[in-house]
Amino acid sequence: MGIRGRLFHGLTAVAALVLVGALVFGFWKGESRRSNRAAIVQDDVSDSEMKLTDMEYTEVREGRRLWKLKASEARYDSESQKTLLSNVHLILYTKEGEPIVLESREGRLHAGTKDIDLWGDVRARLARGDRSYELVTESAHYRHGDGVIHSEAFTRITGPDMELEGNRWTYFLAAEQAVMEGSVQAVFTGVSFRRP
Amino acid sequence: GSVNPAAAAETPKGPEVKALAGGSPLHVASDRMVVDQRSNTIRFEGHVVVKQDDLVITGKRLTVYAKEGADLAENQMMEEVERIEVEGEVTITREDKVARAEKAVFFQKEQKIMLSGNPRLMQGKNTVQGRLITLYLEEERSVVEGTSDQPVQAVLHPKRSED
Repeated sequence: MGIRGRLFHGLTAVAALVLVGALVFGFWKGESRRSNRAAIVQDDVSDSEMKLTDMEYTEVREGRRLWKLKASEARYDSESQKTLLSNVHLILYTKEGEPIVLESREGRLHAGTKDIDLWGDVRARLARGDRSYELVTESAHYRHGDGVIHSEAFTRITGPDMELEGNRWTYFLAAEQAVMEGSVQAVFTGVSFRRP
Repeated sequence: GSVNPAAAAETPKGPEVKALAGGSPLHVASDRMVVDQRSNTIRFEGHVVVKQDDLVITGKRLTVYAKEGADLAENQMMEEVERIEVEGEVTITREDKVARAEKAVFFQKEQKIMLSGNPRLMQGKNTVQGRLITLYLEEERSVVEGTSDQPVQAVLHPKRSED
């Protein structure tokens, strides 16, 4: 009866899914860059606004570094209590101090909540062993209060052996859990799980 | 009822199993995917469909369990997987062959798949079912186990000479 043989590896194809892990476990970690550059104040702006260049800010809580924000230009508006950012480089640190690096063309820091919006070619690049993966989306929001990064925009993650996409994604820093939702599609190549 | 080994039927050796060629891309679709670094798991949830060539696997949930301390990104992926579970109206289809169960678990190390929850194997009009069906990949052998309240049952339609 051929059904046994032919179907055997049918189910075993599922094992191919492990490749997801290459992306996922590694995905949320990145390379930290350490640079301390002074913020230069320039005041050719409106009264309620102040412009900084080469801005760098690190958020620390109880001696632990939570995140570091860098921008080529920052325009702080005292009325709205928001800072508009250009060429944003945001490093979020997990509990173990692992960096998660996000970059975008523009962003906004909310003074009160310390939430951060990112938009315009939002990217996260990540190297894991000899493999590197890239996340691309249009916008993302970091909620400082509960340490969550969330995006309601279509997101694609690509790597040498896989592609993954979905309509929304969220990463919970404290729980170290990532969620992709909405028409999730994953494609894995080079998959073979029969032992050689 | 406990599993009655005596009732286990060892099905004859199946045809050569075509290992999953590494060449064809494997496609997975679902409503949601959750990666949990703490528990070392990846879960696909809702309308899970796995496709590769003419093979299709569907179910409600699929979970990949990595070994303790495994670094799935660093090492060869397959060595790091402990098991993969597919749950909820699981169907595996290839050509005219279908396997159905409530749960299918692939054990990487033992290279076996265990089908439970009214498992059934079908090919055309032929069917075999029991309480537990275990497919041993490397030996290309399967064992169907039954119990007093869920005995092994097989319906085989011998090929007529003109078929």
